[in-house]
Amino acid sequence: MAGTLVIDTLNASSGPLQTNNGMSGIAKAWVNYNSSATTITASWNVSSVTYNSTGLFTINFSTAMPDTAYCVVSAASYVGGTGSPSLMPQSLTTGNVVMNLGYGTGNYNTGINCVAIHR
Amino acid sequence: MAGTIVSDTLQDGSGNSTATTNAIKGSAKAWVTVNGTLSSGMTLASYGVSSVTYISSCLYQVSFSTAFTDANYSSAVSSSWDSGGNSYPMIANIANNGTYAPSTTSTYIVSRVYNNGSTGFLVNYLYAIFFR
Repeated sequence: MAGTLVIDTLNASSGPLQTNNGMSGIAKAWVNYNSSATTITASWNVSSVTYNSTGLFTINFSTAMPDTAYCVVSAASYVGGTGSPSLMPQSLTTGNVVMNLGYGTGNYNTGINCVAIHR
Repeated sequence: MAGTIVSDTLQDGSGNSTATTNAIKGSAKAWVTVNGTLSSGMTLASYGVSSVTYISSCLYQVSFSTAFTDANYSSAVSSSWDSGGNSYPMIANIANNGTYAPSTTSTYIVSRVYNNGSTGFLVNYLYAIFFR
């Protein structure tokens, strides 16, 4: 049987956890997608990843964020001696975030792209 | 005494609540803060990480305490500026090249000068967090 557990502190055998930490500290969404194939490898609270143009992808949330003040953290894969790409948020709405995968002065699609959202 | 509580919703005394699934799926399964300039003791703080090993050429292996069910976890990594006083902006990437690729038990992080993928520097701080 499931239900609602009202509690301020969770105690595991390893120590206590403030319930608020569990609510505010958790990622509200995360995704691992392949920007070459434009496919989602794994995700949480992400409904889709849309290819816009080279290096530009829109990550759509299943449940919208309450505002656009959320924190975006990311990682992209290193692809060899010529590429240390940066995966950066370009524009944010409550329903999605547009990510830009760039290297030097250009955008490109390659490899593993990961994004997590905190709010 | 340990045990298991089964509940769909977590709520605190102020009425703030979240689905338990959110806490399970949204919680980081591992994270680590690394001093990339040290030859030993480079793990400054961590959770779910058993060790960090310097491989070569500014490539670091992060090993997990508990293996992931697959290698599809989502990573986020970041880096401080270079440690050599050059004020180079650095980029941290996850490696995905042959031997150095994400697996269930470890992943590799590489630090490079931004816009110069072939030049690496050791950095004072590397940060990584993993979700699955």
